[in-house]
Amino acid sequence: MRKKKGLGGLLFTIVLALSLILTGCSGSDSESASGESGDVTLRILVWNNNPEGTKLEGDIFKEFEKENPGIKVKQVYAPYDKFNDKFLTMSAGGDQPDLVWLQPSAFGQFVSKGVLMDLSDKEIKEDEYMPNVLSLGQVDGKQYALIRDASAFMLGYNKDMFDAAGVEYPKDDWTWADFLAAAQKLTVEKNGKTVQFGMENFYTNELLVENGGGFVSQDGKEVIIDSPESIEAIKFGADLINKYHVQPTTAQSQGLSNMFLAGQAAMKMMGPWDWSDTAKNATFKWDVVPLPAGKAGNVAAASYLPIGIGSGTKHPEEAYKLLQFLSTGKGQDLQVDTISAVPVVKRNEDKIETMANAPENAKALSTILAEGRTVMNAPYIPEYAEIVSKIQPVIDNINLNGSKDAEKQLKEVADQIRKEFGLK
Amino acid sequence: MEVTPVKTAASVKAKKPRSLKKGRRLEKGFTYFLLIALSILFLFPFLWLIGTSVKPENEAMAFPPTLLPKNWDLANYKEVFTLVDFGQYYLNSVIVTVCVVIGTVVSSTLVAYGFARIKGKGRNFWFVLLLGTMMLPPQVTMIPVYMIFSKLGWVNTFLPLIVPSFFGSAYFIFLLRQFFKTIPKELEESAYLDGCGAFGIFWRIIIPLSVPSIITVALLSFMWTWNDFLNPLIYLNDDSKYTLALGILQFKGALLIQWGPMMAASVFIILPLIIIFFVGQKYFVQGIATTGGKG
Amino acid sequence: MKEAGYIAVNDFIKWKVTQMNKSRTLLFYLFILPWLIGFVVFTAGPMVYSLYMSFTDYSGLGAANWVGLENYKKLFTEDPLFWQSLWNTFFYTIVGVPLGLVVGYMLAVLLNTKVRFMGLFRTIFYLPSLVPTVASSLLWILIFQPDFGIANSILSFFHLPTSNWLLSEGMVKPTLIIMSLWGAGGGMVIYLAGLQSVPASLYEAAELDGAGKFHKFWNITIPMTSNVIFFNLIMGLIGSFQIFTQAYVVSSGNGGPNYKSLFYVFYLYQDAFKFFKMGYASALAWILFIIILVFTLIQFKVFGKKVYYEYDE
Repeated sequence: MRKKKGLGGLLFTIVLALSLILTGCSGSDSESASGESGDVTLRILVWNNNPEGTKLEGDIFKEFEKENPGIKVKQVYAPYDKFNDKFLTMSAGGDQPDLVWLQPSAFGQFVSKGVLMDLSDKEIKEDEYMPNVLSLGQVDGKQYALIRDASAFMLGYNKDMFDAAGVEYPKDDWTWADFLAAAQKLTVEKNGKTVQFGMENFYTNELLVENGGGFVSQDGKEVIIDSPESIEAIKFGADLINKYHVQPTTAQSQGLSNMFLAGQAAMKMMGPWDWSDTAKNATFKWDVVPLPAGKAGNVAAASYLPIGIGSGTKHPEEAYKLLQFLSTGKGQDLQVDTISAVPVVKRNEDKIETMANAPENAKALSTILAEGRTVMNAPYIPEYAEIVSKIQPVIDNINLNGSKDAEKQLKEVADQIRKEFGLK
Repeated sequence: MEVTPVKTAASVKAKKPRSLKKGRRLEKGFTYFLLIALSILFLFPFLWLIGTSVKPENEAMAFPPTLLPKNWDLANYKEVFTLVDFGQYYLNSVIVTVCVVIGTVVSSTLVAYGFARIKGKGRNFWFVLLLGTMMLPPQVTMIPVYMIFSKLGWVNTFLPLIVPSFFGSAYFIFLLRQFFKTIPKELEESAYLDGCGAFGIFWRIIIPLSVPSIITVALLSFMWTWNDFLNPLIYLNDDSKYTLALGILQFKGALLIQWGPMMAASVFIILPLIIIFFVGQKYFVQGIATTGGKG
Repeated sequence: MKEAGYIAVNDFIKWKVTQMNKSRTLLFYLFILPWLIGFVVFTAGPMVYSLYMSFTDYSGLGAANWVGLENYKKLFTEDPLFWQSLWNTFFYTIVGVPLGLVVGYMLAVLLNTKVRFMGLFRTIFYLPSLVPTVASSLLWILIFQPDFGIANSILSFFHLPTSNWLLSEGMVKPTLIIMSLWGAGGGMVIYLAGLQSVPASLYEAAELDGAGKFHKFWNITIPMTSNVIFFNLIMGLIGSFQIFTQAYVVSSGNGGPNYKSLFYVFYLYQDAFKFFKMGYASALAWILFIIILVFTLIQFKVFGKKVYYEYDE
C-alpha cells in the first residue's frame, strides 16, 4: 500500500513536469511560411562582428521587406568560429537556411558538395560591379554566390609617432624598402626593451600577395608556396621580426590584441571595419595608406563577403530577390551608412570616403577597388583550408627561428602537400 | 551481550593536556593560512573578470594589463542590456536549466538505484554500455542526433535541450550509483520486513540518506546546463529563445572581441551560480548517519 | 525422513530464490527503463550511424560513399597528426588525471574541516570552474605571457629559470595541466559530498582507540570515500581523453606550437567541421572509443575490487 502511494506521487510529479514543459515550450513555429497566409519567410544564416551589427543588418532587411511585401526575412545567428558546425547540422538535418553568408575557406567545399544553388543562369547585373568582384563568387566559371562587400587591408599609421620620429608620411605608391626604412626609424628601445614597434603584425597572406606569391595558384592546381616570390616574401616577414626587430615576436605580442591602439606600434594592418573602432578609441592622429609594394605592386588580398543560396531552399525566387537587393540593389546604398560595409557596385565608389569615421586618405581604398588591384588568393578548392593549416606551422616556425632555412623548409612542405593532395 | 562502560568522547577530551591544545591551535592556524592563500589564488581570475568589466574599452586593452581600472565605468553593464536582449536570455536560461535539473535528478536517481541495488540479469552488460555512451566524442553524433530532433519537429524549441534529461544522464547515474552502494544492507532488510517493496526502499531509505549526493547532482547539473552553449547553438534559431551562454558569444565577433561587455555579461551569468552554490553547499553537511546499530 | 525433509526444503529455497531473482530482474529493468528508452531513442541510433560514417567518405554535406577500411588505414599509416594528437592526449591524461585526483581530494579534505566561513571558502574554491572558458583563457594567456606575465615575473624574482609557457613546445602541455588544476572545483564538490557521507561514529570510535590523524585519514577517510575516488578516476580518464576546448582557445585554434597542443578530439573536431572530413573524423572517434573502453575496463579490473561498498551485490 505504502509502496503504491510513493510510486504514485513520483509518477504524478513526472507527468506534471512533462506537461509543464510541453505547454510552456510550444514556441515551435513551423519553419516555412507561417502566420499570415501567403507570406514567405526567408532565413539567412549570418555571423556578425558585434551585437550592434546584428541590429543594423536587421534594418537593411526591414527595407527589403518594405520593398517586397509578402516576404519576411529572419536572421539566424551563429558565431564566426562555430559557423560551420551550425550550417552542417542544419543542412544534414534537412533544415537548411535559404541564404547563407560564406566563409571563403568553406566555399569550395560547399560547392563541391552541391549545397549551394548555381546562379549562373540567373539575371546578374554584371556591369554594375567594380572589377574583379563577380569572380570572387565563382567556382570553375560558374556563379555560386554574389558578393555583398569587398575591400582590402590597408596600412594604418600613427601620425603622431611619425612626426616624433621625423619620418615622412607614407605615399600611396610606397615600396617594401620604404616601409622597412620607416619601420626602423619608428622602433624605439628603452633600457634594452622595445617600447614601440614599427609594425604590429604584417600578415603573411598580404606579404605573399604583394610579391606575387601565394599558397596555391589561383586555378587551384599548383602549390606555389615554394616559388621564389613566395620564399622572398616569407623571408621578408621573418626578417622583420628576427633581423630588423621592427615587429614583435609571438612571445612579445601574445595576448595583446591591439598594440596600435595602445600606442605600442606605429603601424598596423587595417581594414575599413576597423575604422570606427579606431576613431572612437585612438588618442592620436592616424591615417591609412595602401600596403607597400613588393614585386607585384601596391596590391592587397581581397577581403570580402560572399552570400549564397542554399540548394535546398523552398523559395528560390524570393531568395534571389533578397540576394540581388543586398548585392546590387538598395542594400548597397544602405550598408555604407548603417554597418560601414564597403559597397561593391560602381555607382557607390565615392561613398567610401564619406563613410562614418573614414580616415583622410580613405580615397586610396576606393582607388584600389576601382582599379581592381585586389587579388583573390584563396582558390576555391575543397582542400584549401586543410592545405593552409599544414603550411602555417612551417611559416610560424620560420617566424620563430629566423629565415635561414626558409627555402628548404618551404620546399619540403610544398612537396608534402603536392604528394598528399595530388597537386603540381 | 555485556554492557561495558563506554568511554565517551567527551570524557576523553576533558583529559587532554595543554600541549595538545596548542598543537590544535597551530593546526587551525595553518589551515586558515592555507585556505586564505589558496583563496587568493582562486579568486584572482574572478577579480580580473570584474576589473575588466568596469574598464572603458581602450583601457581594457592597455599594456601591460592592469587588474583594477583607473577609470571606473559602468557603461559596459548598460551596454549588455541595450545591445542584446539580455533579460530574455536570462529567462530562457532559467526555464531550460530548472527543467533539466528536475529531469536529471528524477530520472538519474531511479536508474542509479536499479544499477546499485537490484541485482538483475544483464546488469553488468548494461552498466558497461552506460559508461560506453560517454566514451564516444559527441562531435560525431551531433549530426545524427540533430536529424532525430529535426524529424520530430523539435528544432528551434527547448525540447531537445530538456527532454533528454528526463531519460537519465550517464555521468550522474554512475555518480549516484557509487553513493547508493554505500548504504548498508541492514537498513534495507528492516524496511523489507516492514513490508516495503523495492520502490518503498528507494523512496524511504535510499533517498533520505543520499541528500548530499543528490544535492551535488542538482548543483552540477545546474552549473553545466547554465553554461552550455553548444546545444542551444545548434537547436535554437530565434534570438528570442537564446540562453545566456549562447547570447554572450555574440560579443565575440569575427574580427574583434568586445571584452568590456563580454566580461560584464559574464559577471551577470556567474552571479546566480555563486549564490546557488553557496546556498546548496550547506546541505553537504549531513547529520550523523545512523547505522542502525553495530550489533 | 529427515533427509527427505531437507531435500524438499532445499528445493523450495532454490525455487524461491529463482522466483525472487526473476522478479529482481524485472524490477531492475523497470528502474532503468527511463535510461533504456533514452538510450534506444537518442543514443544508440546516432552511435551506430557514426560507426557507419567511419566507413564512408562523408564530408558532412551531400552523399556518403562507402570506402571500407580506407579511413582506418590512412589513420594508421599516412597521418602523422593522428599519432601526434594521440601522444599529446596520452601525456595529458597520464599526468593530469592522477594529479587532478590528488589535488581535488586534498582541497576537499581542506574544505571539510570545521572552520568559520567554510561556506565562503568552498564557494571561492569552486568559483574558477564557473568562469566561462573564453574569459579564463585570455586571463591565462596574460598570466603566462613570456614578457610581462605574472608567472615569469615571479620566477625571475626568485632567480628561477623562466619559460615561454604556452608558446614553448615542451611546456605547452604542462601549462595546460596547470590550468586544468585550477578548475579542480568540479571533482572537489563530489569529494566533499563523499567526505560528508563518512559516518562520524567511525572517527569517534577510532579516536577512542587512540588513532592519530594520519591513521584516521588512511584507514577511515580514504576507504570510506573510495567510491567517489573511483568515480573521479574513471570519469577523469574518460573526460581527459576527450579534452580540447581550453587548448583550442589558448592556441587560437591551431594546436600549436608545432602541433604540441593538438589534442585528439581537437584534431577530430578540426577534421569534422573545418576540413569537412566527417567520415574520417568518425573513424578517429571510434578508435578513441576503443582506447577509452579498454582503459576503463583495465581500471575496473585493477581497482574495482579495492573500492569499498557497503552493499556489494
